[in-house]
Amino acid sequence: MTGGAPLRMRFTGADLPRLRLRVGAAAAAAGLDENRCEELVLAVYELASNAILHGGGRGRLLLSRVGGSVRCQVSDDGPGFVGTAPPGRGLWLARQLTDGIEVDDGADHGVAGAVVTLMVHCRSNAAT
Amino acid sequence: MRGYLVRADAHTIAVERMRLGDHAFAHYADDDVRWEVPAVFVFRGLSRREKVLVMMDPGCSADDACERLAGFGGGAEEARDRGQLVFSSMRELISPEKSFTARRQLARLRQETELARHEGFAGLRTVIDMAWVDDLGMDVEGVMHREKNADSLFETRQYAEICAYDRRWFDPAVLEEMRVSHPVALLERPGDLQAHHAPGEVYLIGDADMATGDIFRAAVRVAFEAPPDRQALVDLTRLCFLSAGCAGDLLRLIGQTGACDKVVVRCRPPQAKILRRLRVMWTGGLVLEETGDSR
Repeated sequence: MTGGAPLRMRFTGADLPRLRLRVGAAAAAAGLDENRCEELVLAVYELASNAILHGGGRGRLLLSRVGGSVRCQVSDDGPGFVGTAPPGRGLWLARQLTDGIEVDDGADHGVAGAVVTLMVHCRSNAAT
Repeated sequence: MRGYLVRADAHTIAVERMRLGDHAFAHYADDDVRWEVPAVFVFRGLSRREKVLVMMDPGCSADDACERLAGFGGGAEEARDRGQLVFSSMRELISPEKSFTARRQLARLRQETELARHEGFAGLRTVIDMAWVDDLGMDVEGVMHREKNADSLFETRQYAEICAYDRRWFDPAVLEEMRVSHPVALLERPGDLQAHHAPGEVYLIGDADMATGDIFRAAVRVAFEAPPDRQALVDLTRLCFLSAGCAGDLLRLIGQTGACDKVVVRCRPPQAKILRRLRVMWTGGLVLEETGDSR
């Protein structure tokens, strides 16, 4: 997300260490402190590993700064959540660690599987 | 590769944990892997407003090196343009001298550190691929002497250095001596997980995730086999990443062990937060010991 440009990545399981590094760098560049960066990296990793395990073995990441927040979207081409509540400790933890999370059916976004979007407020924003 | 097994011990860390003042041994045996640790080191330095000096294999041009690093993150070319990221070589560093001497090299690195500070950077970090040894026809004993006598360069904590050794080229005995003599030894790749043990204790280093979960669980089980006084220690402070799955596995293993009355989990605040979020899985014998150590 250098210079405010969004971070876009396609990933498989082998890319997860690099995905974590790039998300961490982008979060730091956006102004999150070290602990918040770690929490965002963990939340994104949990979504990405869900995409790999349940969404066809691969996924897409789009991370951008929106106003005073970092917005991160993970999507995949799996079966989606097909009308049921999304299960799993990872998603639950991602919800706990972030300031907002939306779980959508991919059809609403023009993709086949699930789309999960999370938001984390930067410090200056959260303090207000 | 000549079969050199790189073990972990008390001075092993992941490259993400390096900071100014560290002098680190790194190793590789693959021409793609050789870029991974330097790339993390470079981008961490750039994000911390440190100047970064890269001395890769003399056979690799500065443009090629910059392009390889750019594959790991954004901003390498911009950092190069503004003088924060510099590509050089040992031959260039010691110029106009033709042959390497430790005194000359250390003096030049001190100058470069002072220059970086003068330019307004927080410090200088340098990654040196030890392929220069062959390029300059240097004897290995001379290199070993330099590596063991460079402490003064790091005392002010304004300089950090990685010395990256190709396991296909250096003798295993030299590699092991170099690993032990550096104050810090790095995991081979970002994303790796290694562990070392003492009776009833396990120290985990690197990333505990989906890819390394088997190593994580096996290492923890070893600590629980027959701990002295039925007390065990799980040290997570050198982990860079702990997934929810591995955190849950750790709590499950603690709950299942019949050999321990007490298990101390030593960890950093973010890890403690994750474990507390999973408190429904806690057992009575678990003691969480938070440390501020950012390694």
